[in-house]
Amino acid sequence: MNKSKTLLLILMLVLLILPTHIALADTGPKPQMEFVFKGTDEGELQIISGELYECDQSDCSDAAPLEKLGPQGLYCDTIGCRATAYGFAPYHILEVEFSDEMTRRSNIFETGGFNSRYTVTVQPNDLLVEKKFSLGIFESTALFIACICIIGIGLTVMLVLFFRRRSATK
Amino acid sequence: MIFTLLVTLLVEGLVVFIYSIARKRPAGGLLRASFIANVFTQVMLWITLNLFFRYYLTTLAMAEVVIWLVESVLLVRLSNEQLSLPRAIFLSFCMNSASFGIGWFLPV
Repeated sequence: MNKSKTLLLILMLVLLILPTHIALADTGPKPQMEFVFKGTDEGELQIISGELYECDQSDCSDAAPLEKLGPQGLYCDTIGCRATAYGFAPYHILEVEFSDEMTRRSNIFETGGFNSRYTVTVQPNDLLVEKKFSLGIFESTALFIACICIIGIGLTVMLVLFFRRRSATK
Repeated sequence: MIFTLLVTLLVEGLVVFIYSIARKRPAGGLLRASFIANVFTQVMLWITLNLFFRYYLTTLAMAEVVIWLVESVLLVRLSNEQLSLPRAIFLSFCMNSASFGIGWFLPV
């Protein structure tokens, strides 16, 4: 097996063990948020439209709607919402208009990670946004371990190639 | 993931193909080199962006410059020196500009 084939095989293996939700384009993936609503899947209440407010301050005193810019924006169907952005602010507020003609506003919530998932509980007068369970700090640790593994594999391949080449020249 | 990775590989592969036709050189070696280089740099980009997600645009801008240079070197090495370094830098710039431009508007 030559150098290129070995590298290709290793890289494909690395890709296979990476999480399946990642989307690879050369500029991305772009940060995303997914909002799963409790109560809308039974059809009693439907989402009409939504707005995501971005805040730099923790009290959201500087809240501004997420600008629609190319693929950036908040996209809602009747049962849920999803946001894509060229980077999110640290804090957010979700505002959604429902089929009962009420517009409900959420609590202030933080960006959870590169791809964050939230559960949204529809309450009589407002929304409760909670980050869905994740590995939290361990996600970063897992990434760190993945980095180390990739670097390790890379170094091993380089060493193997180096010794092969050296033994071939002898 | 496979679908979107394929989009990137197709865009950059097309650039390599056009370059090879223009330079009247066989495309096989360069295509293979760009494929391997791309998969490698994309994995690195994904890890970097996930680690520094709070500084998306800054991280992306810095990573794209690194990717451009790393891919240039990989193109030279993996194509069995079919390209000189200046030409590889030029080709890598064209490949990455094309996929960056298209990827910027992809909703992924």
